[in-house]
Amino acid sequence: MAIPLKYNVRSLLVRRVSTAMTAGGIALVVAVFVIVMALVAGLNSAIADTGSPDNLIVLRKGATTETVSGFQLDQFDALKFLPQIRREADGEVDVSPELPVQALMDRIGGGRDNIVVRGVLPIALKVHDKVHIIAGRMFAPSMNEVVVGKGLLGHYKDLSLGSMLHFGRGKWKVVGILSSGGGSYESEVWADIHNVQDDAQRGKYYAAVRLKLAPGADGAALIRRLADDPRINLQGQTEPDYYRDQAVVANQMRALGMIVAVIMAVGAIFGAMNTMYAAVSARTTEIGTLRALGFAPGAVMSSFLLESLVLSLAAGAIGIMLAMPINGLSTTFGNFVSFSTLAFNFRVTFTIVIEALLFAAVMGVVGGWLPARQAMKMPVVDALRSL
Amino acid sequence: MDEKYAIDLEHVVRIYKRDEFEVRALDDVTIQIPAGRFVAIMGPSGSGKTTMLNLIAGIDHATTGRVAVGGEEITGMKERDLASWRARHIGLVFQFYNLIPVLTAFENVELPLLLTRLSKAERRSHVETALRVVNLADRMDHYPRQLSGGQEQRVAIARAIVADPTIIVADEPTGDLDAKSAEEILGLLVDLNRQFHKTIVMVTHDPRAERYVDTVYRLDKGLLVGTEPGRRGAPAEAAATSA
Repeated sequence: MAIPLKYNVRSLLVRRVSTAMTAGGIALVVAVFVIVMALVAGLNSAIADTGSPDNLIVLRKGATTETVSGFQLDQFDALKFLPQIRREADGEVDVSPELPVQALMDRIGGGRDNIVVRGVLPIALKVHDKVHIIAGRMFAPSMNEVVVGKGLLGHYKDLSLGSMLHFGRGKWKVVGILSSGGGSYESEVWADIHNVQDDAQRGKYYAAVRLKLAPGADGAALIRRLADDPRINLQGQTEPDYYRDQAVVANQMRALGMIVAVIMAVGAIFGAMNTMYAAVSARTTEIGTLRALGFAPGAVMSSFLLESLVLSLAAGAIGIMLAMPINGLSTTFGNFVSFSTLAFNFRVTFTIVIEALLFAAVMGVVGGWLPARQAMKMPVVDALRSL
Repeated sequence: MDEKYAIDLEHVVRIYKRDEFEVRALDDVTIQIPAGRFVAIMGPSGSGKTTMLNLIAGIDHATTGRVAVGGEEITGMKERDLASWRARHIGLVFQFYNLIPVLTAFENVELPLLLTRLSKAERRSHVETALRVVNLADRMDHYPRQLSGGQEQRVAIARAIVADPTIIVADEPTGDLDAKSAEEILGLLVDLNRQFHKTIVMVTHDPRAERYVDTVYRLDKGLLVGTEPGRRGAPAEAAATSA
């Protein structure tokens, strides 16, 4: 049987100050880790939750985002009656031509951000089946009315129902609030596409088309047709694929966060190592006694490793608790892929909690390894002499 | 090696290296201690007493020579095997008690039993018995800091006997105690020897110890320089030579 865990726990409690200092360092690193990962998870979720697997997005060939895409009405006309596209009972085709443009809006706390104003037709609500008007109503065509994403509320001025919003060349009346289940549309303002075309003075063209596949339709065949048909000559991809590419921002944030966390972790590991070396040094006689009583060298090493692990896991739990208030907090983020601002909520997921505890455990084990090894290697006679 | 001896050392040499110097802590010592004896190893500081005790307890290795304890040769054992062997055969009593300060008397005494296959209930029973033997059954939930020096040493003795070892080795068990406590501890060791027939090897400077033991071995500068019967009156049956 191993050396009892209570020996380690009580020993940690005896050295309250050094234990608290080390735990504090690890807890802060874990808190930063959780916050960064919650930001990335929220960002990822906002981007990934936007798409539907049975939706295609159609762009100009070579365009990587809607913002750099554009095509003419005749291309749109050539594609909108293709058989793989779903039709409503009244015969209306589930094809949504769209024109997202950038508009500067005033933050409540000062400063201005680029917000996506998406020009759409009312059919957009049927194609984007995750989007719902949760307050007010959908805009009426050609009335300079807008519906605003709920993620923008509380961050920007003049977005409440009935307010007059100033952007571009005109004034726009806020008549509805839209929700998209956490997706990036909640960071957008939707308006009539013809009003947007006029305001942007871009002429009669679209940047993208969203379409819903008919049940059982071969999406790959449709994508090939969109590319190969000389009248259309556009590129299509499923929305999940498109948003996966857009998630490059989140991936870069994750990489950056990991770099910061690892650098901080190195410091915390040295802290844990210092504490455990001090523990081994202060308890040399106890180590000698345990060994003399018959506990094997491996049992002593395991005991000190376990002590370091207990310390780091407890610190990790504290770090997670420190970071928990961030969960669900709404924030905005400049997306340099779409050159617009994305509103999203920090998400502390179960996976992040487990990852944070594992991260803390790794710090504990790495920090405790050398001191534990030193305890194991100590000759019994020398350890007993240290009194 | 003769199995009738609890402890059998043949031509044992222990050399320590200290920087460029070699210290001969034990120099060609041969000694046989029969089972069931209570013996003292005495001598001035640096005479090799504790070195000999450490070799008998299997916590140090002889440089040359052979060491057998309880009929088992331990000279060539690896550390892992020695640890397991110590747990089964040796009960240790230290001058400064060496109790684990964050564990209660009960938990300290239980430590050697964690290395056995006893159930929790069996361990509890053994610990309570050991603490009763040393008259500390009412202090089992006390931490070492809540006990007197004499009581701490009695807890250490309970820890030494709880796993029913073949041999008890005690390194200056009265060295940190007042006269009254020292007498109590020596009396307790005699009881263990008489009632439970434990072989006890004790290193001591304490002249009072001679009144309690069967045999006194005297060391000086690493050499065994004499063997005398203890004043307890028993004849010195142990054969001892210093080559």
